[in-house]
Amino acid sequence: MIRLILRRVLLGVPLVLIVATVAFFLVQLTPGSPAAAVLGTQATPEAIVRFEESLGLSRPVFVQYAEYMGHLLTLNLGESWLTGEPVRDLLASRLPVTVSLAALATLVAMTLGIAVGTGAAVRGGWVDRVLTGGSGIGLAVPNFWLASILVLVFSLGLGLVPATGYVPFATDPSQWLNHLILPVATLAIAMVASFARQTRTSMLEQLSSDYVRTLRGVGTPARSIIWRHTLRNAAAPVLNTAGLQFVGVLGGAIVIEQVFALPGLGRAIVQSASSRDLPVLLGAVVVSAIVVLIVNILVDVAVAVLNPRARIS
Amino acid sequence: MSTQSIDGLIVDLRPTQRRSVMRELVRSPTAVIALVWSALVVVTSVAVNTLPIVAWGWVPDPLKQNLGDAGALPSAAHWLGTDTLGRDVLSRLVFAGGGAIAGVLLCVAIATILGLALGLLAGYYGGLIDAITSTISEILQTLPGIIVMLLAVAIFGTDLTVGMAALGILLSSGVFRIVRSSALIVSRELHVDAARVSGIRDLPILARHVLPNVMRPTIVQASLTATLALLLQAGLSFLGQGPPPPAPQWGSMVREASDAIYRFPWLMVPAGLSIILTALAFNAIGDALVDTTSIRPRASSRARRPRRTLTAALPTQVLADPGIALAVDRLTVATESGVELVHGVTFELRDGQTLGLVGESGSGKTLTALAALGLLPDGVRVTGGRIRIGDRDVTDESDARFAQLRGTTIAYVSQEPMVALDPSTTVGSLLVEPLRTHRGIPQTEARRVALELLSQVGIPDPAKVMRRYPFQLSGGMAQRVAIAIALTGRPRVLVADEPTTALDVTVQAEILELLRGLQAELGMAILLVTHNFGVVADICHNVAVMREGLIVESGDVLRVFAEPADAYTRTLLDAVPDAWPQVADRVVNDGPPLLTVENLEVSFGQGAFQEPFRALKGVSLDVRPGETVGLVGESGSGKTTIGRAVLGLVPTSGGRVTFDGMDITHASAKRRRALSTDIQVVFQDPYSSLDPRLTIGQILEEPLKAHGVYRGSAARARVAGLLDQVRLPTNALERRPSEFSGGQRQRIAIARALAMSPRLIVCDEALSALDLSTQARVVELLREIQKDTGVAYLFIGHDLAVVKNLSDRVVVLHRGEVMESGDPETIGTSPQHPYTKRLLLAAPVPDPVEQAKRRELWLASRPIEN
Repeated sequence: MIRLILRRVLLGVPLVLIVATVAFFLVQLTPGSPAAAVLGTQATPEAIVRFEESLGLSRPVFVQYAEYMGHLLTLNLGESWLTGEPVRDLLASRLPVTVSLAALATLVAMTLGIAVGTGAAVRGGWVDRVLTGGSGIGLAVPNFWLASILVLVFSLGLGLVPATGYVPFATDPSQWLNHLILPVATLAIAMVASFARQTRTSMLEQLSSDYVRTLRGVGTPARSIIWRHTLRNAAAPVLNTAGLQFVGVLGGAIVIEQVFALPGLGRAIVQSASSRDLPVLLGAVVVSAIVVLIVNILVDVAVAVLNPRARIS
Repeated sequence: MSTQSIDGLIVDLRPTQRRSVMRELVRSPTAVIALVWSALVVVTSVAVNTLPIVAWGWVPDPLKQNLGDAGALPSAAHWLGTDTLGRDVLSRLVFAGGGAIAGVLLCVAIATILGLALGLLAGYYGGLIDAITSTISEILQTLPGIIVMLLAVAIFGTDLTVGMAALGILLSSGVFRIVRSSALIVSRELHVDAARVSGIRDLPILARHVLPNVMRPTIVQASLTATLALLLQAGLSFLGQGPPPPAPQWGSMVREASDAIYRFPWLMVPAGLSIILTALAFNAIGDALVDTTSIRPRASSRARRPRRTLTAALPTQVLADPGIALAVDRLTVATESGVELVHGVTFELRDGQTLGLVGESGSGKTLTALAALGLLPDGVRVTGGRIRIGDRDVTDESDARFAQLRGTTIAYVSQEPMVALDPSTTVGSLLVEPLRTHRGIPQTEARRVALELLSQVGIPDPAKVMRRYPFQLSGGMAQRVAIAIALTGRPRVLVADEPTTALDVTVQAEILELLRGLQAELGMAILLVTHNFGVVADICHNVAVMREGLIVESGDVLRVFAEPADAYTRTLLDAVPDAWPQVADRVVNDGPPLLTVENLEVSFGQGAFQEPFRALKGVSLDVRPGETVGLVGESGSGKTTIGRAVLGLVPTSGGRVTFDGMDITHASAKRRRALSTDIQVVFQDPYSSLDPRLTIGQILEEPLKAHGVYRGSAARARVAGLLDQVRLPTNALERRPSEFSGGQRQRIAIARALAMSPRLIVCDEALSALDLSTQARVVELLREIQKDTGVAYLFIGHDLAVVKNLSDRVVVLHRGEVMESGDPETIGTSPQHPYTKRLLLAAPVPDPVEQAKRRELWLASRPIEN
């Protein structure tokens, strides 16, 4: 198991470096001078030259690249062109909000989805049609629209939960949760049906497999067949897609943070996109790649726990 | 030979139904609505963006503000109301639609073309191409789309074209992943190998055989991509990063509405619904397209018609006999749609006895056994008759009550031991769990009994095996474990459904010996379902022969084998290979060999950390023109690898393959294509060796066209000739493989192999998937073809009796090495190598008296198990 984790980490490092490299050279494609974009159309040529000199942008690209990668290895992501604040500090203060939002939403959706999907596979009937329709609609509803509707109904209308804002977990855990309920619900609703559908398909496949007939043939109780045998085998493929789902949710979190005024990565990224603060954007790409890789390793570990075939060999 | 008599060819002549994609789409109401909606969005947005419709006054100006009329609800002047600045909402939605659709199309086009092309290449070629493309796809999948689009916007400005193109590249990884995995599966199917062996180039193979089979998942993924692209594009404009205001955008309209949600909640509806409905439409069109691309095989005409058969009532005193463990009386089984599959079957099984339920595929033997277990598959049920286990009538038992009987009174051992055990549970848990349920003993006690049971079924190191998972066991070991599990509840009846069919013949002998021993020790009754008369002769006391859902003959094995009363029983007994007509005159050809294999070596799984598996360790053999060389071995012997190496389908790591005097060991792709007119193949599995999407005519024409020798009417005449050669009627041309039985498909595969008049055909387990009576007819056909054309066969098989019958010379292979070779009679009567002797003795013969003698010899020759 430890070897599995180590191998995944070792394979992940070059992946992050490749992402950083591609993003770095993409940034070099910026038409015209990045300084002009940051300083605006009114900037004098002298100001632009000074700005570029101060940031070392006039040096050859490969020198800049070597420096960027060198810094990256020490987890230094450079400084914001606008504020001069280190990108690492800026992102580090925002990351926990976004990641906890995305992770909570994925966990909630997965738990509910697996429960509903198992029920549907075992009981069958109308649940199937509801799930198919539900996951189609879940895919089609824009999360930022749903977020606004939920705010309208549950905060402005019913006054059950705060509409916007954020309280750190350390300050007040119950307030933290209170502020995250709507954002998590927004992201999770669309995913529940999709997890449920996958679980149902996977469960039905397992329930019709030969080993279930053997288990029944030697008198294993139905309860034990479902809980001890098929669910375990059915959950592995579902878990495997959780990593992909998480990437989608991470993007979704970045968008809906705007609706709920959450101080997460989203706002930092959107602001820097408007002001063409490229180091921050570059940093965000690298950091999100790292987060996704960590989540993928966790998924692999979970799959290995459930499925001995992934563990042994 | 009439049409119907060839392995039951369907005489139904309706052409395969095919409809145009459009007509098929229109059949689904959801798809129609989706198409209408998409068309509406496209047409209206194109119209307003190209024609001066606003100037004509048909549509209100989307930019014209009227602060006095802000947030108005729908009215005659403003059908969908006005926004926060008093602009007409409908007009803004319509203007925004064009940008939305154009962006989505761009993104989907890039994602699909890129993903499809790379996915096909990666899945088909594998190796380095696969490694590189898969890594790129993995990297792309770590990036959230919105971040990439924001980066693109920051770099290239708010023109959405670049953003959507970037998104297309990112989302191509999803298409790639799906296409690659489907292409990987399809590329491993035998029909792709068959096309390669037919000398068809890679590009046509990809286009004809692989692409159509991956279209379905690609369409699904393209519609998902469209939905994602629409939502992400809207998301970007919601974040204020799309084209700057006041240009209308669906996403920015949601943003404006959401900012004013307390004052004008209505505004959320039109913008939100536009996005949702368009996204739903994309999905619905994708779903509908998938339904049209799937080929629909016609409802099988092979289903048996309901038939009522009266069977004499069972004398009542038999049921009262306390020695009867299982009694089945006039049992009928039918599908829910009313097709009767078992038509009144009656038999009884006594304690300590074994009853063989024997028949060919489709005879209803397995359904009968499953009915006795209460385990009939969904959609099939008992419709008449009684089933009694001991003195208990279980016919009308509820599922829950029946479940309590299973394990303790009646238990089950299935056909494929490797898939019959839960792969995620250790052998120990698989045994301990039922032990605790059935015997009510504590964990530690259960573990002790589990160890005992494992030694009882002859497992050498029980403590070690307890910790193993089923996939770490060999087939024979797994079957022993499955038997041990069946014994946990000390059942009175053991139902074994083809328990040795998936195993090698030497392992089969061991498992049968184990069952015999356990029965002597525990006194259980065994109901053994099998198609193999040798197995019946070996282990059964009584036998019931089934055909088409009926028992045609039953009784004591000695009596039935010595004097079969029923004509069908005689047919089956005559269909065993030893009873097939012998070759009158063997080909003795001293000329130069056609094919020579010298010291051939093949290894698999070479890698930095992996010890390669040596499948062939220096094998030599030759095939002369017009003769049949039989290659026989068990699983893992390397027999199939030899065939694939001769065909150029696996790379060799040593030795030489010579054809007609020319070294073809490392023949180039071009040389291979030329060779395909000389060397052909018939694969084992007639289900995957024919592309399910092509008609038989297309399948047979493919090699002819690839070599350009036959064109137009000449090709058609040739195809008709081929069908005639394999005794199939010409009306088979328009049909697809799914409409034929296994034996017929194998005839089609033979016809394809014959297309270019080859000099050598590799028959790779070509008969193994067929019933014995069908095998006999295909063997007869192969012989006739050889007599007519002088083709040589390299005939690969696992059944020595079959291989012996057909071959002029036999080569025995074991673990990648040749054990011995010689003429079939010598090998069959006085084998030299101890392995050949064991192989020969292990195969049961359909004669109980003879088999009893052979068993003694086999037991004496059996190596001590380690």
